Amino acid sequence: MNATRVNTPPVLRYIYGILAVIVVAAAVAMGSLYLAQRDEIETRDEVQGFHLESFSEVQHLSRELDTLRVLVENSMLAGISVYTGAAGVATAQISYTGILQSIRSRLMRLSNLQAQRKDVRSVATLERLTNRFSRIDRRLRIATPNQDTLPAIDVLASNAWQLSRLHTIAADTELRELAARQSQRPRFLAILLVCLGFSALAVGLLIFSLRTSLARQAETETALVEAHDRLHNIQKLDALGRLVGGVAHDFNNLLTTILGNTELLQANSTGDRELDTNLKEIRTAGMRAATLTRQLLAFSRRQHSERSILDLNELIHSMEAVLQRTVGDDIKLTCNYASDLYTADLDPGQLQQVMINLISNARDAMPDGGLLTITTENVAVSMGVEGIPDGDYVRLSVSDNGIGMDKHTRKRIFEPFFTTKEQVSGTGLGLATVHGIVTDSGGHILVDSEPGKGTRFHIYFPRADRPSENAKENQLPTVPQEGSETVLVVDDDEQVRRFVEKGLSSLGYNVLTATGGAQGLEICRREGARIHAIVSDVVMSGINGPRFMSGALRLCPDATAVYMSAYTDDVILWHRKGMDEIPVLTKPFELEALTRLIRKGLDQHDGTESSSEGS
Amino acid sequence: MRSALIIMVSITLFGCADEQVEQDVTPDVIRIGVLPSQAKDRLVAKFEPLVDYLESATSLEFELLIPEDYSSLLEHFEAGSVDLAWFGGLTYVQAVQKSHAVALAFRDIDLQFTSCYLAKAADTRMRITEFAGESFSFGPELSTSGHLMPRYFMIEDGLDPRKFFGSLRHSAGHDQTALWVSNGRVTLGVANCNIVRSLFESGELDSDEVRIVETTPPYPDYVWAVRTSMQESTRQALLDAFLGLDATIPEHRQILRAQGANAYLPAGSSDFELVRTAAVQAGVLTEDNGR
Repeated sequence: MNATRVNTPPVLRYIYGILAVIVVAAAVAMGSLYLAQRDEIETRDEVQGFHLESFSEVQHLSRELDTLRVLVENSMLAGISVYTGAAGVATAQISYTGILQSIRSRLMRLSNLQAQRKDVRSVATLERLTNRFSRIDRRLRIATPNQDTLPAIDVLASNAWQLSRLHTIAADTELRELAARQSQRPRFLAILLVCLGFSALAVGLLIFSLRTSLARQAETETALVEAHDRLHNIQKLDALGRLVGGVAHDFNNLLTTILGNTELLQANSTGDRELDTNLKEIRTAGMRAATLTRQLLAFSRRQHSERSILDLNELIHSMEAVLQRTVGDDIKLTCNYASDLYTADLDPGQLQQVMINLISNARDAMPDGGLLTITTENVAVSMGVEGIPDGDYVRLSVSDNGIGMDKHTRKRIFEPFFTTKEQVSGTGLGLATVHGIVTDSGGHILVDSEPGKGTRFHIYFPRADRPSENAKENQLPTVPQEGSETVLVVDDDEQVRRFVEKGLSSLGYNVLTATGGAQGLEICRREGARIHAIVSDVVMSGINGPRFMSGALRLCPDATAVYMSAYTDDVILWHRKGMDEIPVLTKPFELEALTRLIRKGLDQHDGTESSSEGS
Repeated sequence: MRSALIIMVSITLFGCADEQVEQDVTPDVIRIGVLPSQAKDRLVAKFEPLVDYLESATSLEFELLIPEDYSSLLEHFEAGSVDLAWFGGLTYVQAVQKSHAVALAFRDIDLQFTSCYLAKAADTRMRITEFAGESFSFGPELSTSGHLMPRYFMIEDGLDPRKFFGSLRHSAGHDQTALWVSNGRVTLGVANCNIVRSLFESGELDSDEVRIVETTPPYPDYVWAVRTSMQESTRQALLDAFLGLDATIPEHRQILRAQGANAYLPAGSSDFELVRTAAVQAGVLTEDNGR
């Protein structure tokens, strides 16, 4: 699976942009706040400096004006002029000159301070004070004080008082305003930070949810594509299955003829060794072709199962050589068989398929060789192990010490077409087929694996309550069964029909043949109870096998019936529906197998008759 | 970029929101409202020369309004129908709280206000603490010198007037308080010392009938205030006009004399801290007032 890469969409880039702008705005705001604060501190110092200095000058001025008033008052009381005054008042004159000079320079300093700060609140008052003083100053320099001088000085004193108050009030107001602004700053800062925090959080959440939804969307799309691929594969498989089924049907008919005729030739061997060898070669090739067909059908799961009670130990033991060949020399195969193993109801061919697939899988997991262990054991499941219902099971375990699987792979290994192998080597059907077969057989499969720690497949087959039939099968004779009964052979494939006719005739049977269901029914109607056995193909043009058989058995109720099948869907369908109890002989088959089934049916029938007669 | 601008603008607005009040309003006519502390005709005579002077000094037009009572002055000021008001100390701190008033100027005497406790001249008691259980009269409830400050100082001295005196009443004005003491309606009364002195000077109060028992410590009272919405230049022009009154100029001297002042001084909000404290203590002002 390709890794999903989420590209940054334009909207996300836009959000990143907003986030960046917020951060820059925050930085600018904080910077501005810092600068504003620094400016305010400077302003505060400046305000304090200006007003304090001015205030201090005005205080001095007030005292000097007081002194001037006293001097003026005294000189008026003394009735003397400061400038034209008599001898002995030089001290007063000096003081007069000094105090006026002092007031003049004081006002000059205040004027200079005012020029620096340009305080609109005090400028008019200072000007008034300066102008009024100039008038007094001028007068006192040229003339004695008169009765207007004292009130004029009083007005100057009031002006000085006004000025000092203007400075204190201005300082107080300005500092109060600054303090108010500063006291609000932490609140602004907090609001700003909270706003920015929330904005960042909102943007962050937006990004997160967008990313999540984009990732989810990508995931969904990937899943959709995968599902689509799977569906496509399933459709392909279905088409392939139909093709394989069709080919196999014809192919099996051909093989039946080839193998059957070869068998007949071998049976009538004249002792020519070369001929015998050639016949053996033909037969071996035919058998291999039959195996190949079976494998094709197994992959496409268009194989009908022929379940019987099996002893797994026996079956696997018989496969050991094949299995070892499959895994090669680098892998050591060990088989641990439990004694007194329960039997299980399985199709031996399918079990072989399961074994081959699992072993192949293990081989691929151990490219440099390793250990492969097959274990059988009896298991009693209670309290449900991973969804397996309670009960007795035969457990077949296949363990390797190969590369193992991660969780993701482990979850998907049974999916059709899921493969970790390179496209050319793996079909992706091996484990899917295993899963299908096990599940169809009522079994369960568990897998235990970790990367680097190997893989263990555990297959649980429900315990069968009957003894194994392997032995019984083995006890049956392997030579064709002779007979003298009348057998009706129905097959639309002429070669198959001819082979069966020849084979059965050579064993003493009286053979009637029909090219299809209609002709077969006609023969049945004509011959009736004289027909002892009916052998019919399943898929035929016109009336198909099952329909023919149901009609034929009504006309010849005592006849034994056997189907010959080339593994088609229809056989599986009929069997699954449970409509037919008639044994199916899968093509290609050997004469021996056919005669065994016929003989078995005839003998059972005879037995029933004799027992009913005997009763 | 637009987001950045929005953020910066919001920050600026946030920063200024609380400080921004209506500014730069210059009314066509400056409406003057004065505290009705005395009879209306007396107030008109007192303030008309001042109004004329302000008109000539500022080149602005003025209109004099004398409200019915103290609270209606506050209402007018709050409603914006008065731009320049002459408040008592208490009404000023109330106006600051309600309408963001700004102190502009006051008389030199306003910083050193006192209230005088009056009793019959024949009464020999020398301290108000000797008047326990007697009938007592404050001035109007919203009067600073007639009620708020005397009450504040009494409580500061550990004397609760409601419990201390036998009966407690409020007169309609300082002159009425003096009259009540004079005609024996109350044994003790408290009134603005300046008014009391002027009553003695005008002969409306006879020193043979009434005498001053005790005087309160000084406190600020009366102030000219404007609304914060008034344009800064107008405000400054008004202040300069007040501060420019020159006692050596005969016309100015007349105005100042009518106001009982030698000069006007700039007033600041800090000047009324004591009054504010007294108002909060008396429960006529909440603690969180704007100054």
